[in-house]
Amino acid sequence: MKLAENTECKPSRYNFIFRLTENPGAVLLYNSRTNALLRIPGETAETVCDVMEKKNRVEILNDSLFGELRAGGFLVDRKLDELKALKVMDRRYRFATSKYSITLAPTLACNFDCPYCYQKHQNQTMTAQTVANLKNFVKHIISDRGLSHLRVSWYGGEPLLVKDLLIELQTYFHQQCSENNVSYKSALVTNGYLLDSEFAEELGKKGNNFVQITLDGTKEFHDKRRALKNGGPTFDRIYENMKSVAQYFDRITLRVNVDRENLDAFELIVELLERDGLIPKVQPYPGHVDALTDTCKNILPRCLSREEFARYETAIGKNLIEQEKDFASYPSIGIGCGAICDNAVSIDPQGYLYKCWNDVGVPDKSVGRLCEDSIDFNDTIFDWVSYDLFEFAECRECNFLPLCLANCPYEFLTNNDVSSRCTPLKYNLEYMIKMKYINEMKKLVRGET
Amino acid sequence: MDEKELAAQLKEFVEYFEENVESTLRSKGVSEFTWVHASDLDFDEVTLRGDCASQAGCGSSRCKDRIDPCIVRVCRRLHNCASNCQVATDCKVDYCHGKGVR
Repeated sequence: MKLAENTECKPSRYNFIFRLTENPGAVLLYNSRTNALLRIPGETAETVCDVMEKKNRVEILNDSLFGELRAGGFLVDRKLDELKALKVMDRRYRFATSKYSITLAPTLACNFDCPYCYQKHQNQTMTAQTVANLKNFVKHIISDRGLSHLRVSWYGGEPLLVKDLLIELQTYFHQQCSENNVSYKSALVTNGYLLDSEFAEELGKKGNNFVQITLDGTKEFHDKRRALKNGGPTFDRIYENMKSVAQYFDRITLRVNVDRENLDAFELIVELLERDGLIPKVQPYPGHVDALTDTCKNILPRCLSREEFARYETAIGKNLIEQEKDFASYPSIGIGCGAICDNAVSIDPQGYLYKCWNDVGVPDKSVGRLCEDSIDFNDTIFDWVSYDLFEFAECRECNFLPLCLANCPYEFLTNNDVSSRCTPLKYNLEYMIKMKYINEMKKLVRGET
Repeated sequence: MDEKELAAQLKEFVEYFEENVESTLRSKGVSEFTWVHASDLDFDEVTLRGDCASQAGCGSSRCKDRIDPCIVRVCRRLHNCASNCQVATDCKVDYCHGKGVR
């Protein structure tokens, strides 16, 4: 695409200007539609801010600065309707036919008894008929949709309670994709207790490149909350498993569940991982414990609100950077939750289909079911796939909209919680951007970039 | 920690950092601007960088195996795709051929 001359450009409606000091000094320019972040030093900052705030004309910028501002999307073609472009991007991802994502719960049983779990664990494992229907379905989408990418997320219950079934299906998907020149990747979401090296190696060889494990803090606290059904401890075994299987995957994401009872958990875990040299192969992140479903409503008093959690994340980021530790958090754009995408589905052991992981195992909330030769969708699917923030006037006007497109739609769609349409970054974007900036500058100064 | 207290701490933290960073950047030859994170969009304004692979519909098995969004993001800077990859050869987006402004 030919780039416009500077006379043909205007400031983006999705620009954010964050001042780094109170006195006139350097500023950070962030654009929520392109996700670009640029530091402008003091002597140029006022000129750039004047242009961005439409107090001065684009023509006063020199060519080099103009080029950078254009590349970051801070300046856009005068005729470009950014809202429409954003809408096209959103549609393109949500309705692309070249990709398909399946979240699979081969069992709903679990070996843990976590008090905050949002699922009612049923002793239900995928039947031979569901396995056959699932294989047919995957074969069909690979051959008939012209697929180029298939992604599977293993989920449960605890998927490693049925390792043989998981390997059988993983082998089938991997083989089908390989024969049809389709890229296949899978991710495993597990509590980590049964994740041994032999299994990890086999899974890794067949296209599983990513694993998510959960801890609730260090041993003392974790073992009280994430215990086995018989009350037995789990921390030591999970941690040892994580160390021994890390070599078989590109990345292990370690979710550290945080609520009012364990605010120090995340930093303690980061310390432990650093001590054992597991970072960056293991990437920890703080997980927001939330009372989303009826099953876990009783934990609501100890959950942090979205705003409180945003503040918590900010404080964590600052602490890590002060300790010269990496702080990787940065907004992501463009990829909406699978629940509202036409090219994603979750499947339970009985073959019921869902749009959201939270509903898996509750047939009343299913959007359809796998049949022998096809998928039988019901009308509920339209509630999810037609979800559209562009329908709301206040969203269309808001410069956070590109970030909200990647937000969880569950609470709005199930509880009509209007506030949940907004990204939690609404509460801490400026701080998160500044943390990212300091983190990256420190790396630059250390010669790491 | 309440919001005001956190905001005050962060302000102090950022300002202290800024006191030193400008001279450090200049000593590294960085003057007019510094990229902290480049745009995630292609110049067609509606495609995330790196997603060209699936849209180009490349038939080469080598590309199918190797190109995923993360790897193409690297190509964006190094232009490896332009010389090694059928996707890039087919692609008309400037950066693939090293012709973009970046």
